Amino acid sequence: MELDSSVAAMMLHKAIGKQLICIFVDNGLMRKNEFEDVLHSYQDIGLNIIGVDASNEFLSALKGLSNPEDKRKAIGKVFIDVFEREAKKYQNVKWLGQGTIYPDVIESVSVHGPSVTIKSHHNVGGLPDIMGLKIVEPLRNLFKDEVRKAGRELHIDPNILNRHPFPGPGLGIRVLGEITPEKVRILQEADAIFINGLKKTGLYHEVWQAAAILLPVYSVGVMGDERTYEQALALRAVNSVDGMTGEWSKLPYEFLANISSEIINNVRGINRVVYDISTKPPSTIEWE
Amino acid sequence: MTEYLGNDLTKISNEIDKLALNLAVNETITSALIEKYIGISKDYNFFELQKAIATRDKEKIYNIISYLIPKQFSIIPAIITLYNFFSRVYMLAYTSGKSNQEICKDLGIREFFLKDYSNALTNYPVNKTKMILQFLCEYDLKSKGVNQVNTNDSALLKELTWKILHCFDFYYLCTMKQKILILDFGSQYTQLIARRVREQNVYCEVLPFNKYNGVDDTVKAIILSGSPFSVRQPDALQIDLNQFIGKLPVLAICYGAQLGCSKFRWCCFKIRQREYGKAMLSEILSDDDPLFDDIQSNTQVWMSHGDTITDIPSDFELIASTDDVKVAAFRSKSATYAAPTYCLQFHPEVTHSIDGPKLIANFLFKIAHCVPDWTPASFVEESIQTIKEKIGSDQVIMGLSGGVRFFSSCYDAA
Repeated sequence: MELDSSVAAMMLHKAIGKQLICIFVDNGLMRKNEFEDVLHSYQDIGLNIIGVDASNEFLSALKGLSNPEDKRKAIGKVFIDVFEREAKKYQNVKWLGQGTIYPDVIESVSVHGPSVTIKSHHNVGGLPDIMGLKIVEPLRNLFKDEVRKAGRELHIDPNILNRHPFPGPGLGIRVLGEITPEKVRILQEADAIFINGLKKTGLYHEVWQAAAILLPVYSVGVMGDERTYEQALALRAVNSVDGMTGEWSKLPYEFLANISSEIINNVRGINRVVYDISTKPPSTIEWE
Repeated sequence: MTEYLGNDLTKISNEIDKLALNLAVNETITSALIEKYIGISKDYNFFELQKAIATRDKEKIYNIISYLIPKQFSIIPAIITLYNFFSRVYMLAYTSGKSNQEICKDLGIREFFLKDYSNALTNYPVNKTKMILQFLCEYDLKSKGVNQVNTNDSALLKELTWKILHCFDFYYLCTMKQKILILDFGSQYTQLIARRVREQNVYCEVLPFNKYNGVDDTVKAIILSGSPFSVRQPDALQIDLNQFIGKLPVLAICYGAQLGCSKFRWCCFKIRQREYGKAMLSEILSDDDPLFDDIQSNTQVWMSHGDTITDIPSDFELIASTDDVKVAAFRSKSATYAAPTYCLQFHPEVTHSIDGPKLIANFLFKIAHCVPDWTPASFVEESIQTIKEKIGSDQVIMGLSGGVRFFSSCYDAA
């Protein structure tokens, strides 16, 4: 689960305990085992967290969509639908907790003219209005590095605090083009090999963000005596200070070679692995 | 007597001798006699002051302080007495479920006095008690001359008791005791300024320049950001600097400095080639200026400006130059304003300005006299307290997903 929301939830939990209800939605687009792992670790520390498996709803909403913007919108919409439906079960709820941080709300002076632009509030879908909830945003005054420090103060597991950033639509924007359950499964397997490899070799904390991206590209390979015609996978690892600019990580060749063969040998559906060597800008960290 | 004289035995013995000389045979020593011959009264000592504060007996507090003012007293024993008292009140707040005996044992007091502490706790709930303890620390430092040039103990005691009595109002006005206001003129570096300030454990807020609407007591200083605009443009961003210049310490960076120049006709400009990149502060002219404390000449700074300030007015003085830019840093002369204004042509907030963090720390602590109280621990504790008060017994719901918040404009930032 993502840092800001985790810290905001823990802060609320420390303050009001069981009065906080967390709805943890499985969109089916998380990393391998992520949903169960996170759910259990939070339940263990006493957080009032309810897991909702909505993966089928997400996948059926994504059916036939291949444009990245459409995919993002669909994922966002289903999330809000699911959340609203679950939230309605709790009649006495008066507040909506959010992990908003200072850079989200800071008003800035536009460089394009002497007028001040106010960041649109990020209640995508006007959720609080519909539900008539008041908003509580415990991290509203914090910068990202301060969120992490506050998390440490709240004794949040360092594995969560120091986790790489992960996009809201999850693997939905790392399966390029149309998403199918099978493609998500392939990507989850490959991604787990890459991330675990980074962790095992101690390289995980040397990079800002690492991702496996399933490309909609099929190529010919040969495995044993058989010819294969399967998808290509891109590995991406970047070094950055704040995510605004980024350098591709110079991971050791040997490491890349090991990961490549481990993926091709173990993940049916992938017969080629490439490494992304573009910087941001002009490229972005994610592909979609 | 010890409460007034301290525990200097020779002094006490002197006073007792004096008292004995004046005593009639077989006369009982009464407080009236002590007051008459030694000049202290049972009713007017710090212990009584503490009692009066604990019960919020304003009349008595006033009487005691008015009585104390003409005497050349030291505030330190008062602070010690009050600190001991309120730290126990604070401890008492966290002893629920224990018997009175256990509580007294924990607090190290006799059971007889327990009601004084519990009464005080009703008058000063736990978060206010915490604030009082902070005030006491602050005034302890002040009494020893920290951030305070002239210490006058009676004035300090007056201020301190006023703050203790009125901390309710304070508390609800703001959650943070002090902050720095950063006025944004659109610089790409504005958020960096905010982060550099926060890194010094000082809280700050960024406000667009045209949203400025006065300040309250919590604002300790104002920082003016740079801007992509030129002050020579007809549509340059404008703000009435008279609102705060001279009243609060001001650090004006780049555009901020130039704005002051054009506004007050402080100085004139030369249009020249845009200067962008590293430069050395080859000359720091004022050895004892607090802004450059512990910063040596030839420190690397980051320049990014199109206009150049060429001249400064007579009530300002130059404090640093680079080889190319004579006016790299200047300040108001000490007689010009009650609070100083510092102007920088370079950007101390950018990491290429090697001593930038030190310079910002100097401004915050040596010029604006901030206290570094913005720490993760204090933030977490205060937030939890605020959430409790705000939410009460209501329920809160929160939606969590695997990645960056959905209800956030950030999810497309990747």
